[in-house]
Parts: sequence; structure tokens; C-alpha cells
Amino acid sequence: MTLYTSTVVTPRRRSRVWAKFGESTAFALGLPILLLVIWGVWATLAPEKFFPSPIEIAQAFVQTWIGPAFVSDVLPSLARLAVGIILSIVIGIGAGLVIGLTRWLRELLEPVFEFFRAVPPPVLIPIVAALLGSNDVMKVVVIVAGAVWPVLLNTIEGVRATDSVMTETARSFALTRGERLRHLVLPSASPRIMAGVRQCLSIALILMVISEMFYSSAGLGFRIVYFQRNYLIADMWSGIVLLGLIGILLAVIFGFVERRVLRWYHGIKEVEHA
Amino acid sequence: MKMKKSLATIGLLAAAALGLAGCTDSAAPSGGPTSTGDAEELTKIRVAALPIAETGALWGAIDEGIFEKHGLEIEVVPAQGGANAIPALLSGDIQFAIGQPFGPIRADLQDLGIVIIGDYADSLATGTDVNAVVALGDAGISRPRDLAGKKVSVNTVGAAGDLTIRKAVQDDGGDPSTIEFVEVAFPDVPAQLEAKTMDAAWAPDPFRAMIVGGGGVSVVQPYQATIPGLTVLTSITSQKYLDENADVVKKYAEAMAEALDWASANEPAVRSAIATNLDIPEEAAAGITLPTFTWQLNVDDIKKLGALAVEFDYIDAEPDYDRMIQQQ
Amino acid sequence: MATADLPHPVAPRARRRMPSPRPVILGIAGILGFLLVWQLLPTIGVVNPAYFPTATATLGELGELVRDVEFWRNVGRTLTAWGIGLLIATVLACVLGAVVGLVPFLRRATHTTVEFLRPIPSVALIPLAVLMFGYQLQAALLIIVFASFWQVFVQVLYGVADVDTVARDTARSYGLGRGARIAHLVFPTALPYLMTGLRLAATVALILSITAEMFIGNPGIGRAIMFAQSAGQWPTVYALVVVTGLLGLIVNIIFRLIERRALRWHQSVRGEEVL
Repeated sequence: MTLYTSTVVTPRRRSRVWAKFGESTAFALGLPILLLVIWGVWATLAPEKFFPSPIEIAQAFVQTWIGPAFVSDVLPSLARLAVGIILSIVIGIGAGLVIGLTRWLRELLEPVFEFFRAVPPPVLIPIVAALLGSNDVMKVVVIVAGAVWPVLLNTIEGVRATDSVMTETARSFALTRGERLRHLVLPSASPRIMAGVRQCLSIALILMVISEMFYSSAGLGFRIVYFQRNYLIADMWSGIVLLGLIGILLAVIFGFVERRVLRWYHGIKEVEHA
Repeated sequence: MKMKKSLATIGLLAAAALGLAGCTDSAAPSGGPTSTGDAEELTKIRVAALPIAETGALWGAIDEGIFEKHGLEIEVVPAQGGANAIPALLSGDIQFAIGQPFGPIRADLQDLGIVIIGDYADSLATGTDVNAVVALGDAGISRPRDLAGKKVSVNTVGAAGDLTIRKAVQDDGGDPSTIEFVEVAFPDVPAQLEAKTMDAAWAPDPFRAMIVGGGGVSVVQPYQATIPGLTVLTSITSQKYLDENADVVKKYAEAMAEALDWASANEPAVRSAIATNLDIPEEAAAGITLPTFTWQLNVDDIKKLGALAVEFDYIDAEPDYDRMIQQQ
Repeated sequence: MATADLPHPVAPRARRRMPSPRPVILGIAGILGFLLVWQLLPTIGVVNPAYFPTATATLGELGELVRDVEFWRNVGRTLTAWGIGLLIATVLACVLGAVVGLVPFLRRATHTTVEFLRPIPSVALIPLAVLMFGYQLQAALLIIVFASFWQVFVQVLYGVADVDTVARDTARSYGLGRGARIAHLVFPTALPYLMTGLRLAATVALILSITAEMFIGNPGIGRAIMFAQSAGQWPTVYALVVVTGLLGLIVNIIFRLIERRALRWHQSVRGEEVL
């Protein structure tokens, strides 16, 4: 045993962890910060009435939304959005499963549904408003009336496309209907369903914004229009930013859920791509 | 794809079934020159006006050829909401607008360079006014102070409507801060009152007449109760346009003055123009309470409105009236 | 088929069924059934007939509209705004998508910005558009282009990235210049993705052009709907809604056909479609 263990010194590789972290942060934040700086400089040099500097917008953001307005306007808007989305998904998947599995029902209803899906959702707003009044129920109904179709039709399509070989196998293994549904139909339809849910989210957000901008006296959309009318430009922009953040939040949540639900599917795709 | 193809065939069959049994053209008269060729060049201008009964004077006057006589060809741009007219003025999309005075007040406070160059329509100082707060018969609201604690709709929150309603309620002994104002466009008022979206609504004719005629109650006439004869609509343009096209503005002022005088003297023609342009039956147009059409502004009334707005915290300070109002 | 398409983990089945008349018959039956329910609801009084006209009243009004030249002018105006917006969005997205997609540095640098801007609902920009442009077409175009751009852009990014590595190495080893590589390698690979993006963007653009007309006030079908509603002419409102649905269907069908043609050509090169 030698005491000279340290004679041969292998240079320890400097840990690349921090460098990698720094690099990805730089890429992530670089362009946005650059754009903000350019905007800020431009706004200072050549002030444009309708384009305040990012600092003003940030100030307005804190002043306007972090406070009572959050509770009185933003939370109810988000609540309505959430209820609308959840209802759309539940109705869409529920009805979609039933209709997709029953061939005659599907052939009967699909043309009508296709037509409804083709109607631009905001067009339904004046109609629903006249029938139901300008209240929370109407706003949720509007969201569902527009956002349910992608989920519904994608579920029908997904259920319909269940691999016939697997269906035969399941049947020959005498799986009950419920088991077939859970282990065969739903998983196989889930990529399509998730695609429908993604469209549902963006439609729901659009409908929430519009119904609040033009048919409401409270809520995030209304506040933005109110600011516009009173020429409180920085506040208006802060509202737009907030809407953007909500959109991003929805996208992130959806991303997590999709990755979880479609783990098996992404795995297959990875294998195929390798 | 089969589903789509079958849908497409059905669609084609339906279209064929409808056939081309004669075509019609429903383009509402947009105010093109009605007389036969005149050698003089007409200056084309765009004027934004709400599709409401008050615009009848403008429509009628255009049909009568008054603007053409002054060398102007007017395109009436139907505005969706008064608030959008001001950005359109600033961007040069339109040259003039007919809108309520609150828009210019707010714009002036932001130094946007919007000018009121003349009046258009005033409310009536006595008798049945051009608009009123109405409620359904069973709402239990009969006088202004009953509105306290209720939901009242106006077409635009933060403007002359809710402001004068607050004042009227206060004068009657009620607490205006307990009123919840909601925004409902005038045409939606009958449906929304039925749906109980709100307890009472501020509305002009024909909607006011519809509700009162159907058993509703006229609670208060806010303009008459606070600033009798207050201007309902004014003629607006931008300072920039005024500076650069003073001659056109002069022609417009002269034409409008004559048009508004004509409208005051020719009610049936105005009503008929309303019926045509709003697509409502003649009987409905006959029952509309028309405002006073006049070109001369009552600046004191506008100042009273401004002071009221400061009193109720609608605006922080009064606008620069000399800059904002330049009667042509 | 009628929905967003997905990557299929299994190989596409090649057999075709004999076309049977049953789906068509059932389909028509479904439509007729729907019309019947529509007719009955206001007649019985489940919904207020003043605000929910019967199917016959609506279709009758639709018949009137079809003979009205102003209606067709409105259709033209809607389609013009749609077309211009779609064109601008597509050109911008193709150029930017190709540039960003082909330069890995740019891809990484723009990733967060794209993911941040993409989910912003373009209708949130309506107040801004009104402030900047008033009633002009540009206000509508701002909304339309902002939303449609992302649909095409993302697809082009995917398409450009999907270039088969073997083919790319082969091209490089044959010494093909950048231009030639783009023309013969990148472009054919990205084309089907572009078509998918175009289809998605076309639908989005139509929805937004009608929305802009309704809420900003540009002339077109959307504005006609709001006017009819203001005047309390509900059969016209519903008739116009039906028209927008038909327009949406037609746009969808046409672009699916276009996409299918491009796909068919490339079935061998690519195995799947991205959302």
C-alpha cells in the first residue's frame, strides 16, 4: 500500500452543471429581455401614445391587479373559465364515448355536430345573451357551447379508431364492457382526446375574454375595455399581459396533464424516432 | 370524409333548390348624392354615427341633398359604440363623429386633441324626454330613490347616463353609491329586463316605449331631472383635422346647421328616414320622441356635466372647456 | 378525419370499405331530426320564440338573404379580410419559421418567447387594435394575423426539424449547397406540415375575422349579425349564424382537400402528422 495516492493527480473535471444552467437560462431569458429593453428604449426616445414603456406597464400591473381587483374581477373570471372548461371536457368525453361506441348514433349525429363545430363560437354570444340574460350562467354556457365540440368530436373519432385487432383480443379474453372501456378504448383514444382538449382550452379562453369584454360589467375582459375607453393605456396593457399570463398558465397545466396521461404514447413515439 | 361529402351534397342541393329567383339589394341608403349630376367636385367625408333614432336627422338631411348642396358627400359609418369613434378620429379613419359629450371630455383630459365643434341633438326640458330609466311593472320601483341598492343598466358605464341617474337619485333622497350599474346595449334592454339581468334600465325610444307600452314604469328622466335640455349628442372632430382642413369643417358646420334646422321643421321625413335605416316599422318610428335638433351648443350645460362628473369622482378634474369646445 | 389529426402509432390500414349509403341516410336523418327539434322548441314555448325563431322562419330568412346582393357583398368582405389576414400570416410564418427552424441557435433563443406569446388570445388585443386603427381593416388584420401566424409558424418549425437525418447527411456528402438543400430537402419535408398549419390557420382566421367584424365594427357578416340583433330581427341573426357555420365548413373542407393532396404525395417520406 502506497502513501503516494495523490502523486498521480487526475485533474477533476470542472462541474459543468452551473455552466449548463447558465446557458439554458441565457437562452430562455435572452431574447425576451432583449425585446423588453428595445421596447423600453424606443418608448423613451419616441413615446407613442398607445405603447407605454414596459416599466410603466409593470407598475400599472402591480397597481391594478395586485389588490382588490384581483378578487373582484380576476378570480370570478378564472372561476367561470374553469367551470366552463371542466363542463366542456366532462360533457365532451362522456357524450363522445357513448356516441362513438354506438355506430348508428354516431352516423346520425356527426353531420349535425360537424356543423355546430364549424360555427365560429363568438357568434353564439349575442344569441345566448338574449336567451339567458347577461349573467354568470350565460357566460359559462357560452364557453361550453363553443368549447365542447373539439372534445366531443375528437372523442368520437378516437373511440372509433380503436384498433380492431386489440378489440378482438379484448373480446376473446372476455373483458367486460367497463374493463374494455378503461383499458382499451380510453387509452387508445386519449391522444386524440388530448388534442381536442387543447383546442377546447384556447376556445374557452377566447370566449371568456369576449363575453366579458362586450357583455359584462365586471371581470377581466370588461376591465381591459374599461381602461381602453378611459385612455388608461398602461392599465389596458397590464390587463392584456395578465390575459397572456393566464393563457400561458393554461398551456403549462395542459402540458403537465398531457405528459402524464400520454406517457405511454410519448414513449412509443420516442422508440419510433430513435 | 364521407360525412363531409354527404353534407356538401346536401348543401348543394339546398342551394339549387333556393334558386336565383330574382335578386334584391338591401344596402341601406348610405347617403350617396340623390340628385343628378352636378359638375362640382364633392368632398368625401366619413361621419361616424350610432345606429339609433337620433341619427335620423342626418340620414334625412343627406337624402334631402343638403350636404351635397354644400359640396360634401357624406358616408355615414355606423359606429358600434361611441367610445370607438374617438380612436377612429385620431387615426384619421373618420373625419367627424356624432357622439355624446363625455367621450371628448375624457379625451381632452388625456390631451388627445378632440374638439366639439357643434351640437347635434338636445334632450327635452319638459314633457316626455328622449330617454328614461324604465323598469318592469312588478319591480316595485316607482321613483328615483327606489333605485338605491338596485341594478340599473346603461349603455356605457362611466358616462352621462349613469352620472345623471346618480344625481337624480341623490336629489330624490336616495344613496346613489348603492346602485350597481351594469352595461347593456340599448337594443338588448327589453330582452335583458325580461331575463332579470337588471332591475331597471336607461333606454331611449323605441326601447323605452316598448317597455312602458308593455306594462312597464318610467321611473325617472335623468337628463331632465338634473340638467334639463342637456345635449344628448354633439358633433366632434379632431384638432388636427380642424387645423388642416378648416374649409371642410366650415362647410360641414354650415351644412349641419342647415340640416338640423331642416330636421326640426320636417319631422315626418326624419321619422321615415329612421324607419328605413333602422329597419323598423313606420308605426314604431311614429312613436319615437325626437330630440331637439340644433347646431348651437349650450356650453353651460356641458360645464355643469363636467362639474357633476368631478363631484361624483368620474373624472379627476374638469377639462379645458375653451380648448375642447370650439363652436363653428 | 373530422377532427384534429394525430400521429398514429400503428401503420395505416390499407383496406377500404365498400361505400354504403347508410351513413348518408343516417346523416340526413340526423340533420332533419335536428331541424325538427329546432322547429318544435319555440313552437311549444320551451324557449322564447321572440329570441329563438323556428327553423322555418330562419331558413325562410336565409332564402331572402341569398337573393340580397348586400348579403353577398358582406360575404365578400368577410372573405377578403380572412384572405388577406391568412396570406400575411402564412408568408410571415413561412419566412420566420424557416429561418428560425434552420438555425439551431435561433431555435433555442426564441423558444421561450414563442411559448410566451403563443397562448395570448388575440382577442385580448381588440382594445389595442381599436385604439391604433379605429374601424379600419388593419384593426381586424392585427387580430387575424396574430392568431393565424402561430398556427403556421409552429407547423413550419416542426416541418423543418423533421428532415430525415439520413437524407440530410446524404445531401451533405453529395456537397449540395445550402440553397439546393433547402429546395430539395427541407421544402418537400416541411410542405405537408405547412399544409396542416394552413388548414388550422384558415379556420382560426375565419373565426377571428367574423369576431373582429362583430366587435370592432368592420363591414362584413359579423357586423351584419350585430345590426340585425340591434334591430331585433332574430330570424336574420340566426340565418347569418347558419351562414357562418356553412362558411366554416366550406373553408374546412377545402383546406382538408388541399392538405390531403400534399399528404398523399408524402406518405412515404413521413409517417405521421403533428398537431
